[in-house]
Amino acid sequence: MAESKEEVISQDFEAQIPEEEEKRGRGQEIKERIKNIKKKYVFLGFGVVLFLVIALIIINSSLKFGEFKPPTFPSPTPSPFEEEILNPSAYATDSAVLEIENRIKGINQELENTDLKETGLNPPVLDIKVNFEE
Amino acid sequence: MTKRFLIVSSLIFLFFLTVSATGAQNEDQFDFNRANEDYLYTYGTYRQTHNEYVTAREQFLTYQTLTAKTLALEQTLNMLQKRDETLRTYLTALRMKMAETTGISNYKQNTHYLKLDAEVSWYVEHCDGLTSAGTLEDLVKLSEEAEDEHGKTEMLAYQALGLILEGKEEHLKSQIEEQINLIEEKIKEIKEKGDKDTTTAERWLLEAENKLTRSEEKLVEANNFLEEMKPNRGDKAKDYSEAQKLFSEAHLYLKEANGFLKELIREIKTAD
Repeated sequence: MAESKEEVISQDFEAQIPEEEEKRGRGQEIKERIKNIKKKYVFLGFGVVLFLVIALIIINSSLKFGEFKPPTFPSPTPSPFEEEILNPSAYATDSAVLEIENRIKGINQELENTDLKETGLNPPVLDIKVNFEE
Repeated sequence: MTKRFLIVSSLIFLFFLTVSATGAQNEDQFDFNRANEDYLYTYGTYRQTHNEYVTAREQFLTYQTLTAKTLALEQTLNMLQKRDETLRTYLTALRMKMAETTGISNYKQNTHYLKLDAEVSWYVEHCDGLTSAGTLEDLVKLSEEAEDEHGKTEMLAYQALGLILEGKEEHLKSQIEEQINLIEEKIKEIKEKGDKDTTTAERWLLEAENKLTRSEEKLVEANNFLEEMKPNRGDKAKDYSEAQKLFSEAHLYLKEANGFLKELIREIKTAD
């Protein structure tokens, strides 16, 4: 009886594990590995997207920064009318002179806006030659 | 209650009557814009009928059937009528543009009106005559008449365009001349008072007058180009383009003259 107990104890349990269970264990291990790999890829993908977004933001902001121009203050205009006359004569406020000045300004505008092309009024393009010969 | 209703309804009626009367008045007004719209619309219909004519012509030349010939006759007649109408409305639009342009001398304007009116009448008569054509040969003959007239129409059109540009320039020139006269008087007044040296101002005035003379010369040159046009000779579009360049040069001289007047005024306003 005691011998039989010892036999039982010294039995090789590992050798007795059925092969199917061993296969299942391996399958689980593979699944876990795949899961780990998937997780890694998901993290990696997320990282890449994040990186791209950050990169785009940086590029965009740097471009805007490139476009940024410091505010320029208007320099004195070359037109004599815009320039202030520092030493005005007695005629600087003369109504007749000011009237002429205004008219000249008006003529100047008219000169700038005159259409000397009138392209819309060019003669129409027509098929003038009508014949039935080949 | 009934009285109130009657008063309100009669007021509404009066309001709509006034609005419709104003609208009718506006519709009756025939100006350049209206004439130009008419022309553009007719030109559009001409292009459509021309496409139909081209198709009908090709069909007739390919099949030589009676049906194709009848269709070709119909489409050619339609196209020729629209062609005449296009030129008639175009000349009318030009006439209206001339009427609305200030600066064209009365003599030149009236003379050109007569020419344009005669041309419009020609196209009206020609268009009426087209309906009497019974065969394709008749239509071709009538089209040849229009072909002969077209050179004259083109010449009159370019001359009218030239007159419009000349009018614009003359109008600006006369305005500058007016200012020169006023400034001349002012300088004389300042000289008499003797409270300011007018030498520089007088120099600017002389420069402005010189520019005005140069402008005048360019206008004369441009007019020569336009007057030398002949109905059946030379490239009228090219001649007009040359005249247009000269008008532009005249315009530049006017700008310079006006610029000198600006300087002159500044000089008068500045103490010695």
